[in-house]
Amino acid sequence: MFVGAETVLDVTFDVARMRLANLARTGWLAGASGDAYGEWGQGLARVGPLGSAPGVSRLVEVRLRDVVMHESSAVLALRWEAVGPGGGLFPVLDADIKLTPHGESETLMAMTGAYRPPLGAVGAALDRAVMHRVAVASVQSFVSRVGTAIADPAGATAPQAASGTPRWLRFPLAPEEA
Amino acid sequence: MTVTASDLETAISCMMSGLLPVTDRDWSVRAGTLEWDCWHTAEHIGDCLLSYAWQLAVQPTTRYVRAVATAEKDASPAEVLEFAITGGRVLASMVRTSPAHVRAYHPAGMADPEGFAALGCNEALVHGNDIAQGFGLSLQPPRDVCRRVLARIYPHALAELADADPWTSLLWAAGRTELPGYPPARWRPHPAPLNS
Repeated sequence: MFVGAETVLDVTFDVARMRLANLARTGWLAGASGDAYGEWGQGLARVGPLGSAPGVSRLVEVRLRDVVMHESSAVLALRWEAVGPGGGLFPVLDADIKLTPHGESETLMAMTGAYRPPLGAVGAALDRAVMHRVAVASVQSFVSRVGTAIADPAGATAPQAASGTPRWLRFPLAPEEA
Repeated sequence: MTVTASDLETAISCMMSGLLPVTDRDWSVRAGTLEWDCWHTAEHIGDCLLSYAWQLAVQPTTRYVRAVATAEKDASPAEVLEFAITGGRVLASMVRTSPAHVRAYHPAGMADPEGFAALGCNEALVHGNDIAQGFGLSLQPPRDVCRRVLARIYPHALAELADADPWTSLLWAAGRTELPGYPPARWRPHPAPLNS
């Protein structure tokens, strides 16, 4: 299923692509991805008492590629996936974050991707439209947060998930190991 | 037929009285058919019910309030059950004091206070029963409450399942049990007002 969100950043394209690359290099983007993926699982769990609710998976794997420059755009590909026991109960997201000039002084940031619905009882029982609303809310929240961090890196809130290692990270998801 | 804050308090009391006797047991056992253990299921009940209360408090339209409520990691079974009860009672207070016209985001639709009350009853009873099943027990909630919850968030199911026990029907709707002659339920609650 497809999902996406976009926002206009009040910085030039050159500044935006440089800052996006920096957020990826420092681990901030991976950490924010871990947070967003945790929110996604939490959102699914709060829909109602599903058969086997997500949230059991202990790790989320975030994969980020380097920012690829094109003539008038910059693209960063990412994947969010839960791993370990129960990982299949979570959706898997493959998406691109794309920056394009928006006038002379602004940049359009769009995140577009596709996700695989979770397996197991949740995926079987949960209405696709309901599941999609949770996905949209999670991606919109992530895009908003990344956009804010690009526009104002100094004021960017540190992700709750671990940071420091770029591009490929595993984060614990709630509930943590008891 | 409406679901009220009193119904939610009844559901919470049912969960509490059914689970208090097993708080001296090991809550790391699996909760019924869930992948979660009993401790984390109770923690989830607390978080979920508190999140519904937060929705009523500030009425976001496109997402949940960006916060998670957790129990202390060393909380005992009695303490994590207390956390779940806390969530239920806070939600009941919000339901009781929120004007009927209030609407807030839920992925299945913009819910009103009654819708969140029904969702809260469902959460506490079904997940509470998951925990009880971890110890070979089951909850026995008042059937009139179950009937009202079913009518509120599964308005179509109520007509189809008129002859079935309301508690069994609620468990069927949540995918916990089978009903002979009926296909597996497809989860799509209706937390928005029924006339919307």
